[in-house]
Amino acid sequence: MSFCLFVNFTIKRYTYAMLHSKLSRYTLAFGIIVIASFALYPAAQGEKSLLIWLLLALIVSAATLTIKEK
Amino acid sequence: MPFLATLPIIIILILMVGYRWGAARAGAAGYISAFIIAIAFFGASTKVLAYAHTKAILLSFDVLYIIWTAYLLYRVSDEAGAIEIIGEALRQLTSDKGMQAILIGWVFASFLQGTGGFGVPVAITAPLLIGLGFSPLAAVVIPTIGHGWAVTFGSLGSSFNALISATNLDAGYLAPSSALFLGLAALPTGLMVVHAANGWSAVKRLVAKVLIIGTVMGGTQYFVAVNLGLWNIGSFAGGVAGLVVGVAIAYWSEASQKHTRRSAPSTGGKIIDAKRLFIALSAYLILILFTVGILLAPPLFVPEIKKTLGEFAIQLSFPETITSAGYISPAGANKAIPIFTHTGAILLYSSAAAFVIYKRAGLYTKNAGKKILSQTARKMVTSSLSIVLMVAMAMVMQQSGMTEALAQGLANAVGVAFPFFAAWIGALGAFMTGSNTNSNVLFAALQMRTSELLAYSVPIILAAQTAGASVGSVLAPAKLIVGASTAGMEGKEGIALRAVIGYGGGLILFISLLTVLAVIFQ
Repeated sequence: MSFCLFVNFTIKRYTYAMLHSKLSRYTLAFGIIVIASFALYPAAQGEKSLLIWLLLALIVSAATLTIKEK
Repeated sequence: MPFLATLPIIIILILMVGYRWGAARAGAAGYISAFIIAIAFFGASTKVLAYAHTKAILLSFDVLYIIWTAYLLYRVSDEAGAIEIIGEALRQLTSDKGMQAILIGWVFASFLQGTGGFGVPVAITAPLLIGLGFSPLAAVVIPTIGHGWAVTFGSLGSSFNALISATNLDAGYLAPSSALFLGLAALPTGLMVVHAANGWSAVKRLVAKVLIIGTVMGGTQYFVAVNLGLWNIGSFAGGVAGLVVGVAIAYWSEASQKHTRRSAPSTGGKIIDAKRLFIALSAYLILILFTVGILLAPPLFVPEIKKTLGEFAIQLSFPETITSAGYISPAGANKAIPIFTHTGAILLYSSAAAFVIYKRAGLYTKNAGKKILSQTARKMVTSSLSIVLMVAMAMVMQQSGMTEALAQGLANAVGVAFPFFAAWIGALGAFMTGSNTNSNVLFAALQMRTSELLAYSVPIILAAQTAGASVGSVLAPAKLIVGASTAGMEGKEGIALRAVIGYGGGLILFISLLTVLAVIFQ
């Protein structure tokens, strides 16, 4: 139980720190866009529409994260 | 439809110029708007969007590979104090204000643009000029104008590479017109630099020297980019040739003036000996050696190794896609990205070799390598994200038929006057994004399609695009901020912009007129 709480706390702390530093936010957004864009190629070749929508949503979310000022 | 297709570009323009957003944030807003418009009004399917994004990431990598490693080479040299040594040596050459502006604000700034870019030419040369007694405003204005002609083939050709990738046209087809326009633009640039430094009297006094140096720089850039095919070192080679000729002219002028006075006035600073200067220049000598060895002269390296290295390339084939509105993107492959013989790879090898030389010469402090890498990574995150988002927006627009609609609208609106406006479109793209590369990514396909629709020469119109963007990028607020920061002009960027806008506008007008003449006499 305490281990789960610790993991939960750590994830929350790092997520908070990442989203509140411009450099970390930009790094995260860049990483998501790169990985998702490459993953779109096999998804499109396999005609997996649902996966394509999911990956596109991830890229748009990363772009939205970039717009966020603080 | 053309209005809807323009909307993402208008959004970027308003956010960057009106609200002073950075390129990454504005690029994200532009990308999201293009994404929504492509789905809602242009009938882009999941497949169209998926392939557009994969093409975008490949194009981005092709461009970023050069940008990352060019900045790394600059940091390797700067951390060793090499840039300071070269600048100091130039400073001590002449006491003539106009000649100092030529050597530091035009020739040395162009050389720095050839290797690094990203606001570095102004950031480095402005303090040198202030040290020579120039006002902070003049110290920002002179190098800002001075390196505008060298941007497209500068930064190891990253902007020209973007032009090639965005249009999928051959470098040999695009380079002659682009190198000619930019080489000719170097001449008025030199005169403007002298005017900004010392007024019309200096222009009259130094016009011959400016014409000689400008012809050498522009001519060398043309020869290297077109005749040798080494477009990635076009500006760099032009800068090196300019330094050699400029230093010789300054030395000769100073020696002849010594007859009329007892001693040369001191310009201050440490005396630079030849050995220190040679070590400082070693990073760039290595770059020339690697570039010529890998790209030009096979006998310098084992041909089998070169061939094997060239085989490791990233290239994907894409099927034909069609939107529900009926716009067809033909099947084809992206431009191959040879991992080990790419310009980015050459820069990486040069950076590693230069680091070893500087380290052996004792020019680094402890943990210099770590510092160089962490500063390069930090500096590159924002520009990488902005390029990826701008490219993604451009690719979504292209693949969904938005660029086609925009080109149709533009062709209808300006008609035969299009060649006059091509350079201004390129300049606008660079002004709002702060980058010649981004402008080429955004507008090159549009300009190409519009010129095809109006039956104008594609390489001439694309030369106007990239030459206009080259000059427009140095006027961008994003770049002026970097330059102003080292000259003690923080918060006074508006004053600097007002001072450079006339010179920049004059240069873009010059390129527009060249374009009109080129399409008339082609």
